[in-house]
Amino acid sequence: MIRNITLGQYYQYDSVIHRLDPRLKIFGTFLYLVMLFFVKDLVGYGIAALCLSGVILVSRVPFRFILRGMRPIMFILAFTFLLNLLLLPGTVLWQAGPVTVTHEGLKQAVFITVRLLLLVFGASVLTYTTKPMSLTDGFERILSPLSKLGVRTHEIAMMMSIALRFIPTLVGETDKIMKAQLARGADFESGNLLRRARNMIPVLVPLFVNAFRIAQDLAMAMEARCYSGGRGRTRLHPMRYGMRDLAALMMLILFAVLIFVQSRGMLPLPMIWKI
Amino acid sequence: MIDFNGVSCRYKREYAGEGALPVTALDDVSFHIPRGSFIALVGRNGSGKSTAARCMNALQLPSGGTVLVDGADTSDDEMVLTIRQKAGMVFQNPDNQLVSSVVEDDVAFGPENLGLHPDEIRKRVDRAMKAAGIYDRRLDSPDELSGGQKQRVAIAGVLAMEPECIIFDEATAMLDPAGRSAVMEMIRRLRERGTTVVLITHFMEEAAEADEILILKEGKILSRGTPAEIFAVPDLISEAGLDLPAAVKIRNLLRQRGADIPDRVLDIKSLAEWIAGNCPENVPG
Amino acid sequence: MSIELKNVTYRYNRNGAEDTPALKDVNLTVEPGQICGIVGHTGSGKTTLVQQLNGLLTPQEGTVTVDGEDFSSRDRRAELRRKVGLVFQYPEYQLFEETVAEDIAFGPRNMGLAEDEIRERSAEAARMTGLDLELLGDRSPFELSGGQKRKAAIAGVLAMRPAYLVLDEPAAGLDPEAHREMLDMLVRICSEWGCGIVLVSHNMDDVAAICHRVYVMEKGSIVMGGTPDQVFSRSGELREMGLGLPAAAELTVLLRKEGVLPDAPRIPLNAEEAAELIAARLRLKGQGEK
Repeated sequence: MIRNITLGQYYQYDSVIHRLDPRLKIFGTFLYLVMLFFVKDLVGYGIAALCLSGVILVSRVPFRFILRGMRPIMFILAFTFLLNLLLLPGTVLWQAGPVTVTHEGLKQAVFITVRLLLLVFGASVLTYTTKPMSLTDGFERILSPLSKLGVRTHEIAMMMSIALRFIPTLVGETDKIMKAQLARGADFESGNLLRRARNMIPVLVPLFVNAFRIAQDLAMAMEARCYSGGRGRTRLHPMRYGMRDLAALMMLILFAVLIFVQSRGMLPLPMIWKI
Repeated sequence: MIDFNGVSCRYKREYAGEGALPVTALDDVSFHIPRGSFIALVGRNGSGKSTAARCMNALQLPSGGTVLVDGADTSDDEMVLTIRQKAGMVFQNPDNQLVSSVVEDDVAFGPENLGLHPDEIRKRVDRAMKAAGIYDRRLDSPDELSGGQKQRVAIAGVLAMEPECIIFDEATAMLDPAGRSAVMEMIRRLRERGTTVVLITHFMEEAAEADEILILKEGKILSRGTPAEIFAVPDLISEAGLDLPAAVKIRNLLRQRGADIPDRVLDIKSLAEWIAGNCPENVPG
Repeated sequence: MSIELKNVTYRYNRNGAEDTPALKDVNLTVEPGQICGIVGHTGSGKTTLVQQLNGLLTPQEGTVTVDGEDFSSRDRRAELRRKVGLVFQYPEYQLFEETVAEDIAFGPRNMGLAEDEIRERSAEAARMTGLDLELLGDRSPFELSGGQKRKAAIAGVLAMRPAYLVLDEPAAGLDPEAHREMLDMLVRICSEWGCGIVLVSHNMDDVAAICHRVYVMEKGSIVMGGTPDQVFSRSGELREMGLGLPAAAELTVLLRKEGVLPDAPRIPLNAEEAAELIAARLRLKGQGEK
């Protein structure tokens, strides 16, 4: 059940996107996310979606794999959609009893949902195509100027990468503990919210204890392998920008310009549902 | 290679309602592990084996006495990294000792910490992965590997640091028979390369392969000797809460029935050979 | 009276794609008062099978009945879990209560028993595992030693007084002495309580020593079943599957290959039997005296 979460996981493949410098990918994703907020109509979203689809296509990460990753956030998406759809005042489109759908509500609901989808899709392309280790390395390098201000960038990056490494382990652990407690007659399915929360204690306590045990074991294993923080550490894959990255940067800039220009209505394209 | 000189490890453990109780994990232990040898460290759970292992890697410092690794004192802060590079360690739980989500990055973790040049890291990582037989899984995530394979990744991670000694802290305990024999095969190959091996284990069949067995009981050395010597004294084994290898049990029963089987016969294969060689029809003349 | 699996097939429906079944047409019987061993490679389907026995998974095809009744409906699953206790690998990692006594009482409490009954059952269960509840009952389970934790966790399942008990590698990671104690305990639970026990293990010597029946799994199917005698006599097939033999049987196979011992339908399963057989062959004087 919970083993099927693919969101935030790495998809092993050797595509051009996979081989890009992680720093560039992080910057690119950031730029993409920012540009999404410039978009003012559906055509703009269409352009963004098209570009993103292109990237996904090139990255060779299967669409169904990415879609499956959406499952855990489906609830949030549906919730935001409904909230916007039903609660926004404006020109009434449709009414049944206390339920009213307004034109503004529909527009807003569609907009927010599409934006959220594109945000998550875009961010997940980053994690699907970048090994957690290189991702955190990228962050570490991008943030390294901050270390001069006393921010422990290496430690933060290391923590992030370890968190990613142990997500599947902890998910497996949770599954196992739940089953073990079910076998002892625990009940996770009935009762009201409060009761259900209390019933999770037999799962949460061992889970925390195990997480601490894992952390202790891991800390010891890392120390045994001469880990002593980021100082003096070298890397198997040193980061160097290449021609590929330059080309990708050009395309990113092009994308940003395109979105910006379109949002200002400076393109010979119609604006649909402009906000 | 490794010297324990009067090593004691005492600490206090908190018990709810009863306050702190003193625990003695090691009590005035002295021994020497020669370079290139293969030593098995056995004993009950809580006999101090793992504490001893941690002392060999400067993961734990003794409260009394000194531990020397290749002449360097583990309590010398300057030497800690050198010691850890020289005496690598493989732990029990295959999951909890892999740092990275990609096999080759994990193997590179040690050399990266040593601050080696990327080209050198690459060379060492490839060599170590080949030696551990996981080269073709180098781009996979550890989550896709079996327990035995994960343990071989851990071994590769240690090998990449080019240690002179590897300590296996119950590294076979959580594996299935296939995984265990893969790790034991690795250990045999390490010996051929002249690497010093310290093996902590509950499996007497594994201990029987060592040059020497060191039995710990309640933080003290109960006995030390070759497997042939150790397993020749059943009382010693039961006093330590251990067990005889299956082949030795059969051997002893045959001895009771009058067979004159030598002490060095410790495993099924050599027992079968001895029987075949001493069978009436097979005796020449 | 027994657990009966009839033509059980189960697939983990992953990714919406139907992959090869984890269990394929499995038939198996667990009798009360007997220990039933299940052996096979990692990934051969043992863990999936075990979860069918107490309703953590339910088969897509075939039936699981316990004492003649089908518990597969949602509302009867709790009943089934009381009847069939399940001890996972490394059960000590499921301890959670503030005290050992409370943890052992978790199962019985979920059954809605009276306090007296809970106390009595907990005490009985602890006694069976050899855990000193008087001394350790008020301690936090996290302060126990590894071996004691394992005992406490098993006691927590035993306290539910299951008619059947399923254990996945209960001796994994224990030292030799604790390992022996574990086997002794299983035999005691079986004989004193008349419990039907399912033991999943990689250790062929353990299986040969205490099991009444053995099933061999490969690729989701049960490929052999019978008494340890019958199963381990098919040493060639077991070897082909990459499975080991009890040490005594292993030695006999080697000696047969050397032509020292004749091929016989029966293979010795323990040290005594093997020594007897070999002593006779070596024409030792001591033979027959016993």
